[in-house]
Amino acid sequence: MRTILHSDLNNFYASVELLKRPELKGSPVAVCGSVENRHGIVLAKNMIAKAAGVKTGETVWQAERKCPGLVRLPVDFPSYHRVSARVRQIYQRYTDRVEPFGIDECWLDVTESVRLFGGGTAIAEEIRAAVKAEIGVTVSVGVSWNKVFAKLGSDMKKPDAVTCITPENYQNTVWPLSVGELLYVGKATLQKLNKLGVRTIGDLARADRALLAAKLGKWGNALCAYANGEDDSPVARVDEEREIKSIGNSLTYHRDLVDNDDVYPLLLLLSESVAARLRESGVGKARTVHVSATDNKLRRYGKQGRLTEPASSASEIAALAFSLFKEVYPWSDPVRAAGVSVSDFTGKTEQMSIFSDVVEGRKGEKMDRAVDGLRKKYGSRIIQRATILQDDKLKKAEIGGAHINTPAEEPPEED
Amino acid sequence: MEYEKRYVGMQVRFDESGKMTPLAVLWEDGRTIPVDRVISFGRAAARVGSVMPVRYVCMIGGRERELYYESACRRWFVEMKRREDDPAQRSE
Repeated sequence: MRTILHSDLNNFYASVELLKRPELKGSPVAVCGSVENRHGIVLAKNMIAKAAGVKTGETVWQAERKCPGLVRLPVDFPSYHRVSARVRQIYQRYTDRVEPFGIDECWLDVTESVRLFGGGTAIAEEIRAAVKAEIGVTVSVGVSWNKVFAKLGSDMKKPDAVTCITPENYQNTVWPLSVGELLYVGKATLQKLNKLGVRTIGDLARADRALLAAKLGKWGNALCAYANGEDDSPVARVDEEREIKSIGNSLTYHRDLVDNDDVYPLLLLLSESVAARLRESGVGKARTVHVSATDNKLRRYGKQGRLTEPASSASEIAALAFSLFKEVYPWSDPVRAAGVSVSDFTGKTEQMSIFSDVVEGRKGEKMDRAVDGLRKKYGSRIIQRATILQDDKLKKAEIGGAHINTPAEEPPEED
Repeated sequence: MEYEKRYVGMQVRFDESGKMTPLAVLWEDGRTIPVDRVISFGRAAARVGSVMPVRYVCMIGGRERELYYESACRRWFVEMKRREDDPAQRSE
């Protein structure tokens, strides 16, 4: 039997901010996007704000209404990445099988080292203590024999705690929980399961697999297996390259965009950042482009389409994104936010089509590579498209990386 | 007990591998206070605002003292106990 840990950094962004400002420990604190740039939602909160009812994802004004005196702090992704990387180094003292799940969660397979360190619970306790002493933030750790139960365990006691889920106790500890707590059970699946009378994880474990398969397809069987602790998915090694399935980026604009011409520069900027990451990632070219848009009433629209030829250049991705956008967006209201992503990658080798102008394509690629080179050496703003230069805010945006930082969101200097 | 963060000047020796050894604290009143010995060092959470500093536990003037190094801004600091009856200290 394996020994799997799932370690979850508690209230991660807020905890890092409290490292910088320990005097705020007794106050309700929320890390928020910038209101001026209209990213004004709560990204993370500490326990005190949570107790006052502040929820991740709600707008700043909703949060402040529930919690007067809420201290709002700006996001500082570079610090969060630095802390996250250091915490992973602590995990790696115990195993080389450390698989991240987002910036603040990791699975660890410690099967090979339990004898060395005295068991899964002992390792979990050591990690908990080390993260607290060395970094100053806390983790909650779940210990089990599979990834799904380990993750459930880390959710059960927070913060700064260890929870073990064993073959002896899982029916008493896990089965009474709502089925929505189970990893991979999203909103849609939860509704379907509830309709079948499946409300707890125990209900799911004991449900008729044929019925589940009929209503949910093969997912039904898989979920039922998870509820019984039958999950043998491996924990990836640290150096294992994880398969990239899609690359995307999105941005809430600082003002409403009123027509197609207004939207194009934003799509172009997003396509540039996506194309640059695509070329860097070494997954070849993309075949599919997906565009999404949110209007100022927060209704979402999206559409995807295939490129006639696989592409890795910003202009080709932007061209398709723009035409998809024009097809799908009804223009009943102005655009607040947009996103572009690409998927369905070719891999490194490429098949050439006799119908496309190969030489022209090469020229475009050469230019993209030259631009990438310049940006790597001198920063992303050294060379820009004329379309983007027309817009003051876009002009100053830092592209590249998973986030586009617009000026007001640039992290503050550390004291 | 409340603490405040005081950045200090330092004399530090770098060996050929880049390893740092603190030699003396350059105190704000002009004194140079020698570090007798480094007892241990490693990452440790500070009591004052700082993200992941490295703590050097040292013998200084016959007593155990803690010096912190912030790699992000390459500065050293010490933690000062804040005396509630001393408005001069608080006003900083």
